[in-house]
Amino acid sequence: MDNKVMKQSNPAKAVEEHIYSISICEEPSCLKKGSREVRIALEKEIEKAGLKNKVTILISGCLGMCEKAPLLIVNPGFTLYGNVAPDDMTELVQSHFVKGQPLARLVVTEDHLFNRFYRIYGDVAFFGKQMRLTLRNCGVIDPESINDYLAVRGYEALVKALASMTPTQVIDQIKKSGLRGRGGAGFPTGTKWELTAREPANEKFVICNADEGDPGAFMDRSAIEGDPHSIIEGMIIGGYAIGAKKGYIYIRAEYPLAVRRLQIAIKQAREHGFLGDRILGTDFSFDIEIRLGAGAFVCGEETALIHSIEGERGMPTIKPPYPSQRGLFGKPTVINNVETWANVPVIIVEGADWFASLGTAGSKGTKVFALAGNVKNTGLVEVPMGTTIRELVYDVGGGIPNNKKFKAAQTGGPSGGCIPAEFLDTPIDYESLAQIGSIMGSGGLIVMDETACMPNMARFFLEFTMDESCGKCTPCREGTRRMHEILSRICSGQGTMEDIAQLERLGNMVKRTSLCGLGQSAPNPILSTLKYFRNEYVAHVTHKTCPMGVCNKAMQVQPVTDVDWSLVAPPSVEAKTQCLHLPTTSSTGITHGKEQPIRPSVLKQRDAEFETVIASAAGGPNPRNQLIEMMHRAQEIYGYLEPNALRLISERIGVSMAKIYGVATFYHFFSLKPKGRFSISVCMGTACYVKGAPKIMETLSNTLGINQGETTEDMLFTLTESRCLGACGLAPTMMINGRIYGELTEAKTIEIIEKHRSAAIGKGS
Amino acid sequence: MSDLFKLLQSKRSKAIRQMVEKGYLARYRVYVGNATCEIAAGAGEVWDIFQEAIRSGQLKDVYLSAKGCAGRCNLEPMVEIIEKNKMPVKYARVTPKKAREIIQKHLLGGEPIKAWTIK
Ligand SMILES: Cc1cc2nc3c(=O)[nH]c(=O)nc-3n(C[C@H](O)[C@H](O)[C@H](O)COP(=O)(O)O)c2cc1C
Ligand code: SF4
Ligand code: FES
Ligand code: FES
Repeated sequence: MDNKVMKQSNPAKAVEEHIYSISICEEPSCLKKGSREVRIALEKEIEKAGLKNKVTILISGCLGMCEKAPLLIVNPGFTLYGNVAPDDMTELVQSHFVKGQPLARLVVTEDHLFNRFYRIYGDVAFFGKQMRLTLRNCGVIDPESINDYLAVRGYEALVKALASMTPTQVIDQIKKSGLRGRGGAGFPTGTKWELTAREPANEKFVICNADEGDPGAFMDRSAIEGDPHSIIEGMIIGGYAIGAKKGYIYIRAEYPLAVRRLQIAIKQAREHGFLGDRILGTDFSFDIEIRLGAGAFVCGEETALIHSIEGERGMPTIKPPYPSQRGLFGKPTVINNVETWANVPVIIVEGADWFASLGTAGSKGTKVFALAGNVKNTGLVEVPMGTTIRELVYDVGGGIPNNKKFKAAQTGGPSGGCIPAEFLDTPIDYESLAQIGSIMGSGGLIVMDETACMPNMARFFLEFTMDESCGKCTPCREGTRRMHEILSRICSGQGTMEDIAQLERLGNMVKRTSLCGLGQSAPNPILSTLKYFRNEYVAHVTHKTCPMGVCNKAMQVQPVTDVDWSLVAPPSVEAKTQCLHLPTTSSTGITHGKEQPIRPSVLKQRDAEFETVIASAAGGPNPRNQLIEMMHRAQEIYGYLEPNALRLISERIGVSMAKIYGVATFYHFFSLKPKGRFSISVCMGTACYVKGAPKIMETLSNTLGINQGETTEDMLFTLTESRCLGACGLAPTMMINGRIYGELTEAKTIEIIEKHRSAAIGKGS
Repeated sequence: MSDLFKLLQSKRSKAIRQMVEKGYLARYRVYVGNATCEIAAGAGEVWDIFQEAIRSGQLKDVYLSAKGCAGRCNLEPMVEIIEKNKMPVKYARVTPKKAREIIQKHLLGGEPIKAWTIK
């Protein structure tokens, strides 16, 4: 017990070093048990000990542990004292604040029930069942201030590892903790590290996967935006453990704020000597570079991601060899998800045993979920593994709004499945979720109420995977397209019973024979809805219409005719599979070959800016793998991939134009056409879809008189769709020139557009 | 090796000292969320109101800080006000107009506006 208590608090010397705060609950149930008397006694003792300037008393709301009332929490260290009496205060003050030794006798050590990292002041319904480990600092500290991070024991894990542990010991701790990858597959992290550490190689890498492709999830974005240093600290420890000197963070370009926070944090960490040469004066050196993704879901897959960092089209390759053997630039590489990295410092500071005491037999620790869809409290939550889906939806999430009934919860995004009401009591862990035909996934959890149409949801996901299939292998490329075709038929009331059977066969085939995880998991949304909601498929077939009245509405945006779909390849797939042709003038508006004669002065200015960017890249090491970076910069400067800029890239870093166009057409984020002054991106992610995004798209399309992908004639507006803006809690959303607008209605959407229009016209354009 | 711990301790004390110098121990600490969600909901405008009030001298003894996402997306923008010896107050769905009123009634007048808080 004593050991545990010591761990919970900041040992010795605390008095000189720290300013303490004590929270005490004065809600009715605590008051009844005498918490006010305790506070008065406490104040007196503090005064007597001459600590008035060192200790602040905060009166808090319910701390969610009324049975232990009266209750005190001492920070820093988050020591929790329960069942305290006024008489205990002399001893407590002497021990904790004078000697710096928590008073073991009164400390509550049941971590499980309690959120020991997060100061909950009220809002118990929402926070009560949560345990915020990876999100320990999110919403608590200022993410742009390393001082804030240091104050809450930041970089203590790194120092502990460097000062008192060998790399092998670090790996042992991670193994012992039972931590499994939070990116979806749940591979044991310690084992991954061990395999990589064992490889003989002169150079190794660590990668943080912040691609967050699930359209309807925003855990990684929030974690980075709220606490970037935790991830950086985790990566440095990982580098130390496996013997890497260099780390990369691969993050979606759609997350500009998160990117900026990371840049700031990396700079601060370097200034403090936590990153760079000879970290804190030791022999260990490590640095981190940020690489921007460009909006291809498949790039979240580890081998594709690695190719993307190398500056290639992000296509998966067959494993083995695994990244642990031959990863980035052919070197052994550890790749982990954001949340996985954020867990590492906790395990090192708190110990593997403690971490392993949380959760279920096979799944340790906590899991972050992005709750969205038809649920009262949309938001970001973190619960211990083993919490049931019911607790998550009803206790934390507050249940279903508008007195509707729960129909299904979707986990794992386009790779996952739908969980029906009968499995609400399934505990959340990797195995249980797999058993009922879904997956843990990276943490997207979309709640659907009784008005949702399940075949339509399956169609929605298939449209996504069909679009995102990289086209490398046939089962996935053709299979997703066929399945989408059948689903569209069923949804539009033209399906047959044979279609349903065919869908099932096809799904199982694609699952077995695809090359990478995208194809292997793409049928999950179909197979799980077929399993639990087969009657809805049948109803569509027999009644020749959607019983929910959902499909027909949704179809208006994506009209389905009786065209033979096999003849009409959707353009995006086409582009990805045969994109090596140079675009012609007619299709993209680009003239290539000759120099354009006149460069207006605005362009010249941009040319000059881009010139300096490219010069620094061309002068650096490995200019070729800077290709995607340069394209990002070109798009930033010119607003799109301006042909002259591309030519400059080609000349200076020695990559052919064919390859540049190959890369440009592979990634959604890049645009070869000039955009309007206002670039509107409507979110078509899962959360927004469930909350009526198709309607918003339709409204915009009607108001502007253009379709998706087009620009208005006056060059004011370009309308595009995006996969998730990371603000799912405010669904439906859209982004205009980097600013997100949430909780859209038709009226609100029109109003926003009109505001932009009049602003532009007002300026006399 | 324990030198490393000492180094960290001194970095930590310095960090805390700097926070205190910036006014951390002020009578009121005001936190405004500033992650994507919050900003989308309008937290930037709310932040500006508080910052302006401090800059102009209207508010004294107030420590204003940004923070990441606490996970309450549908209640954003949230403003949390921590007062010494009082129960922290969390305001939900704050608008610039509400922010001005919070400044008047709560930070200057000492009376939290109960109707806008979450329990
Ligand atoms: C199509 C596809 C998309 C993926 N997207 C992501 C992603 O967005 N984020 C992520 O961390 N892992 C993603 N993964 C999983 C990664 O391949 C890899 O397993 C993971 O980054 C390993 O980290 P972990 O062990 O910490 O989970 C994806 C996998 C596939 C097949
Ligand atoms: S399964 Fe799909 S995404 Fe994966 S390699 Fe094959 S075609 Fe590409
Ligand atoms: S689904 Fe995430 S913002 Fe729309
Ligand atoms: S991400 Fe912060 S409230 Fe939603």
